[in-house]
Amino acid sequence: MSPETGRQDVRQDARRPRSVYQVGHEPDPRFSLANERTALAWVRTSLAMVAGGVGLTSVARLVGLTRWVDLIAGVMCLLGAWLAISAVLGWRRKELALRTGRELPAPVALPWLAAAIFLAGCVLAAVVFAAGRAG
Amino acid sequence: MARDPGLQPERTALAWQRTGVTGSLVGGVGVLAAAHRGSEPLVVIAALLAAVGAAAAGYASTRPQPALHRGLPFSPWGRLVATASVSVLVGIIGALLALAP
Repeated sequence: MSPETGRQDVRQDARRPRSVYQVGHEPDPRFSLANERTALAWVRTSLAMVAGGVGLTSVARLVGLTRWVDLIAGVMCLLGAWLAISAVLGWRRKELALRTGRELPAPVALPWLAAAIFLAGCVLAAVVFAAGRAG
Repeated sequence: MARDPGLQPERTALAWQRTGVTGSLVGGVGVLAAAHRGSEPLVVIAALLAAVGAAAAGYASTRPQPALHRGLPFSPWGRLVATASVSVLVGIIGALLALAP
């Protein structure tokens, strides 16, 4: 081992979280960077859910829509918060898989996200139609 | 990693910028929503979160790209947790605003 490699190992040990960086081998940096971008895309999805929820409840209060809309908005905000946590945990799981050479784990949050958006869309459509009939 | 023709470090830095800008926008939306309900503590918290989002966007441009091109070890953990926390906290504020009577 060259002195240079030795220095790199010391620096590698200093990285956090230790539970990730003290396991396995250093993968191709491009894979790590791709994993990082995937996590960031999930964080943006989560931020979009939160923004949608906050916007929805604000509009619902302004124009006096039914409290069902507030309920959907609250659930969207909580789902967004959960997606952000899932993004961080997913990054950790995938980085561990890259370092240990195992298969990449499945994207757990993806089917839940799609189902939640589908349900929210259906309920909101029902609210809009009901409001249209009443008005 | 010698010169990467896929420009992965640059793409990652840009992804950080997009996320940081989105984070500060969502914090701003939280400020407006909390102000509309007249909740001063939530306005302050949301404003702080917007600042964290903006800081993440700014910090992304300071990322050591030449070092990344050489494949030096680098961990996104701290920034990732900070940025995700913005979303978690604004999400909780939004849920409080939505579900409050």
